[in-house]
Amino acid sequence: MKAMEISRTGLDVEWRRLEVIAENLANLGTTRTGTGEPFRAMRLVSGPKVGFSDYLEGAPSARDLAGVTVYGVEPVNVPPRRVHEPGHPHADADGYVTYPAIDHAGEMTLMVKTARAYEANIVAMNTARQMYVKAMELGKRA
Amino acid sequence: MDAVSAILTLKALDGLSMRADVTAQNIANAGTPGYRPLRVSFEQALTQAALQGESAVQAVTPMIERDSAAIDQGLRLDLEMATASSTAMRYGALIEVLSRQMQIDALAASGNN
Repeated sequence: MKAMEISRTGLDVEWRRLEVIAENLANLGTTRTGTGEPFRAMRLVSGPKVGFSDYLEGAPSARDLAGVTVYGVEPVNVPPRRVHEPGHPHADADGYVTYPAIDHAGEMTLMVKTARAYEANIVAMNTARQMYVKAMELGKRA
Repeated sequence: MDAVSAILTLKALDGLSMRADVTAQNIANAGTPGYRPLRVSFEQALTQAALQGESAVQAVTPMIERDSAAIDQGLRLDLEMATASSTAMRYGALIEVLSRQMQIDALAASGNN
């Protein structure tokens, strides 16, 4: 039984997804990053912990049950928001400041979904634990 | 308990244990876009094998397949949780059956209570 190990990978991925969302929300008002580039909203890309082609083509078997993994953290492909604020220290020659194009409502929705998925993994882990405990009762009273 | 029932119980425990793993896999992939949930089937094969005798039951292994009906729908987290919970309950019930059988065997062997 590897249900608990699988749920553990789920917890890891959802936790890291939440960190990326927190990073995006924390940088709502960031006008410039350390490299001078504007901040870009990031998305965590996750998927089953096997080759994608394997997963989609081949017949599933017990070895496919390896949980989920993070494939990377990629910037969202949305151009940054330019706001006319001539007095801002980060304003360019035309008086425009570059803010990250963060979809606030979208981030919040994803945050709730991530929290739900995290909870679901915890419940699945507890259910597996319950099964282990039950199996260990076998032969105790006999 | 006759030999067929004993091996049937063990095979059902195997199947349920695999279903718990598969359900954990589905739940872990709740955030995977386009994920097609996996399913375990063994009940029907076990029922048919039980009619043919012990060696047929012995040969039954749980089957994992992808849910083809769920392509558009994606993963239903609530249904997966229900599966996880019912799998654990059935597993517990089967362990209880085995446990009681062992108690009876122990009683038969020792001859007193």
